[in-house]
Amino acid sequence: MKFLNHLTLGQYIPADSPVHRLDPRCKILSVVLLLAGIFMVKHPVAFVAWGIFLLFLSRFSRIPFRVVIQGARPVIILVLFTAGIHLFLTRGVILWEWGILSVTREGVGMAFRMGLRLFFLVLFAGFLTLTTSPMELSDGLERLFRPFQRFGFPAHEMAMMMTIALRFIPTLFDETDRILRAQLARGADLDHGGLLRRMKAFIPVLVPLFVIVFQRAEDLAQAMEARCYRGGTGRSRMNPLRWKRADTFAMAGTLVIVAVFVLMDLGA
Amino acid sequence: MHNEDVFALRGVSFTYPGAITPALDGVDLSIRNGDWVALIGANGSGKSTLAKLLNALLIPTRGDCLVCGLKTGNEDNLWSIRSHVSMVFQNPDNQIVASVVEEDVAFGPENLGLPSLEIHERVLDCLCRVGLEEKRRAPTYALSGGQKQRLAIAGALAMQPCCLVLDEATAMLDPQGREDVLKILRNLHKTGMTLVQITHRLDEILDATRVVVLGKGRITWAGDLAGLFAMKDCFDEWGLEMPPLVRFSRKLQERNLLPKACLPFVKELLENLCP
Ligand SMILES: Nc1ncnc2c1ncn2[C@@H]1O[C@H](COP(=O)(O)OP(=O)(O)O)[C@@H](O)[C@H]1O
Ligand SMILES: [Mg+2]
Repeated sequence: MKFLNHLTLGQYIPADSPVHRLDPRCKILSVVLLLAGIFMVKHPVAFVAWGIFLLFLSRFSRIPFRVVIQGARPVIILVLFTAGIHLFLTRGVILWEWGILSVTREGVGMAFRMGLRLFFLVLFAGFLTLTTSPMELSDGLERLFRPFQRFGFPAHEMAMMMTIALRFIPTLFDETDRILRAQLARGADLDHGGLLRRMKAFIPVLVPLFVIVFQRAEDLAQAMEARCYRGGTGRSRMNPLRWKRADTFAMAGTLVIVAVFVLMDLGA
Repeated sequence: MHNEDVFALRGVSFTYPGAITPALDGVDLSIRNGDWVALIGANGSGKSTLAKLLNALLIPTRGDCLVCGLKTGNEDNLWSIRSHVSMVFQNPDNQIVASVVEEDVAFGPENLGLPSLEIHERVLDCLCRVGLEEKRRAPTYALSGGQKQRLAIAGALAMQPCCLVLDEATAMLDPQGREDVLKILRNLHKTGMTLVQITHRLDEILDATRVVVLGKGRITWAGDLAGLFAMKDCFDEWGLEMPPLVRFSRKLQERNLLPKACLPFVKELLENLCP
């Protein structure tokens, strides 16, 4: 039994699909556009349309929809929490009241919208990491942020940090899993008691994890140095980014889709 | 210094910042081109420290360390030295940078600023040499321990070094993974690569041309394999365990079933026992 499933949290799934072949800059910008679009629409039908679009995207990128949904599982709690806050804290026509808690008609709408927006946000961002290897992703970000380098923004360093963070997610999940098992085998009780008690029970898990992370970071830094890493200067790429016609088409397509969705929503 | 020396260490000492006793204390060592040097010794004897000195990851606090004639203490030589000498470390997970196999092999050549075409060639060549060409596009987290270590070796070879330093590179592998790595080393040695192999398993060093024993930061013994296995009673003192084959041939020699001059290798034993 695995305690933690790391398979899709920010993971890249290599495949040969039109979406995989797109330039990472195109994919990053498209996702930003899509997210902006998602936060602009309100009508319930619009959300159904986004859902259908996601299904299409899953077909195009040869990534099973099941896998995409799995990737969003860790953030379900966050989605529900956001929805809950909006459900109880929006003022308007009261539908139901209990003590200081009240649910309004506007609150129900808001909870639905914010919950779904966040959910779609995670799914679209998930598509980006599922179809783009961390190296490509960091190349793309580095290039997009290069103009800001002039103002002292560490574009390369940020990008490299992200590559490594994504690379180490599965390793650290495995590590956490291993420590959890070890602590459970020694009789640690992580499932019972109040929040404080449970948090206390997790300390014996977190402490070794931190020690291991620092050891790994030191080892990795040394291994990178041994392979002549000295930051972004003088570094070349095995697959230099090349903006192709397909990227322009994809970009234009996204722009059109977002525009249509937003305009239809305004019209409705 | 000899012209063909890959490494020349003269009176090298190294003390970690804040430490009182030196991790290495007055080490003299030269390693020639094409040597396969096995560096053995108990835990904490300074093997890893010595390995890092060879790659200029550490700079001697006293003495000189020359790599292909270049002094490691000189900041200008750093990148040249690191492209001459590649390292493979113990934990394969902690030396893989990328999430896709071929991208990880490309990391070193990219740092050297090579053109795209050459990087592609090197990546393919090195993956073939470690038998991972099928896994070219595989995610690195899905590899087995042995495969990860072979990937680390491919990443090191992609720098086209003249010497490979392996710091307990087989310690975390299963027997199959270990044998795979050793096979790669044997092939590399045949092509003339200089190897510095750190281990505390004596059964892994049977192909080494030279053996250096380290103890408490000093070289306690140096010689060849035949000389090493002829040493009596030293292994306990050095904190090392004799391989079963060596113990077995000792017993045979004590009972005069085997000539004293016979080396404890499978080939020699077979020749002597079943002529
Ligand atoms: N980063 C460090 N800081 C301080 N002391 C260290 C460090 N690394 C190793 N040492 C010390 O240096 C000595 C030699 O260590 P090391 O070279 O790792 O030995 P080996 O690889 O043979 O086990 C040991 O006494 C160890 O405690
Ligand atoms: Mg060591």
